[in-house]
Amino acid sequence: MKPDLKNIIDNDLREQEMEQEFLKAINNDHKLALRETLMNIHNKEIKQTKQVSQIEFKEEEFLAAIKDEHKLALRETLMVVHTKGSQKKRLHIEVFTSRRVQAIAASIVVFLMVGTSFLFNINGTSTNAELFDQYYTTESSLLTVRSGNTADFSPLSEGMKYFEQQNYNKALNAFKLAPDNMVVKLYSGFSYMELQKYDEAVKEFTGIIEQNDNLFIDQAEWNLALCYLMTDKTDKAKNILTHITNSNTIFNIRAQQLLEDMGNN
Amino acid sequence: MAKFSTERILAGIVENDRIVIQFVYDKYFASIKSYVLKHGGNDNDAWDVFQDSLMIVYEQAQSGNLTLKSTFITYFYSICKYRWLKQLRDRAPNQHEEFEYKNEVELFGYNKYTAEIDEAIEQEERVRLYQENFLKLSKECQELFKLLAKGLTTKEITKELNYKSTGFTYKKRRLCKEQLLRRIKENNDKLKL
Repeated sequence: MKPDLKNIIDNDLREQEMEQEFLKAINNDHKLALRETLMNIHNKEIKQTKQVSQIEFKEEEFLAAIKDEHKLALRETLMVVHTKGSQKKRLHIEVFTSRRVQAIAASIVVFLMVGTSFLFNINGTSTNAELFDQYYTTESSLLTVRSGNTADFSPLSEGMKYFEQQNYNKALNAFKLAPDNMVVKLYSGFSYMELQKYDEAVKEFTGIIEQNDNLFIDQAEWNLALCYLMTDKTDKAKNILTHITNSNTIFNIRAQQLLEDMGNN
Repeated sequence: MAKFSTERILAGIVENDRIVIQFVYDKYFASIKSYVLKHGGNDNDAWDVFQDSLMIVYEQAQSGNLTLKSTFITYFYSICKYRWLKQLRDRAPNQHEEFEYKNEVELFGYNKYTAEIDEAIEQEERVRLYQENFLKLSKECQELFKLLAKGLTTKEITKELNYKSTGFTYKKRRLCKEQLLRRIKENNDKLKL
């Protein structure tokens, strides 16, 4: 047989096999229906993801957005501040690539540090309790609890209501019913701080920190440091504050300031 | 750096007080950025989160409904975190459904509020995209769109901007819109990354 003819026959056979396979595959109604459902779900998900990342332009909406002059002015201020901030940062990086400038900068830092401690000595240092008052602020559940929402009677929401009303003992009683919840632990800690039971608050905050994988560690660490400060465990407070200054949390700057204010306490 | 009370910051945001806004930016943007970077975002995401959250503060403060008992930063940071976690959840709903987002919702305590803040966040994202790109347009296009937003007709705009004909105004409008759409599209491409 000629090679060409052999190829043609082989191709024919392959096509026939494929056709049979195809017919067999679509003959299974159940599997076909299942496939269709799966594809619909998948397509829907893709469509949803697309909607998130793409914005459909609506002229009316656009005109309404630019009509809000106050907000537009605020946005402009923000953009100016941000652009200047980014430029400053770039400049900072450029300047600090030079070793010579780096040396000068180092001497400036030393000068500033000496200067600050000099001022500090003149002003005198605050006591731990005074510093606590200065840095501690009463936490709240961030927004006022709405009286209409009474359907949820979980220990958390019950406790939060009492917390909002500054009824900390009642809040703690409610919180005790859900001891493993991290939000409950956090607000139990705040409640104890309000009741000036700092040792109890320490237990709650420590519990949050030990349960490593949660969102509230930053707040727990900061408040734990304040509890130690208030109970004159200055070294412990300083250790935690130093840890906070080395981590990228929202309390970073506050921790630095507090450490400076604590000075030689 | 000057220190401002929570009340002063809120009033400053409503009044568009440059000094207060500079203070808020200098003091808090770096922390917000490091949080977003730490949790899978980039510099642009951080800037979007910061802007949207500040605008939410603006909306709440200027409506007079905001009763804040916590410090400004606790409140602001929680909005920023929530805003970022929502974006993570929207990007990959199945991955983040049970993740930190849930805890953050619990922090607010009430589901009703969650729906409201989600709506507010989505609204802010759209307004940001429009306003930010509008501000990057040429002054001429900005002027034209402002007049359109005020409800002026093409004829009135032609007169106001001293254009030679209504046909020219139509052409300008089309060109400005193209400019705007191109910018919005560039933004969207960034979002996809």
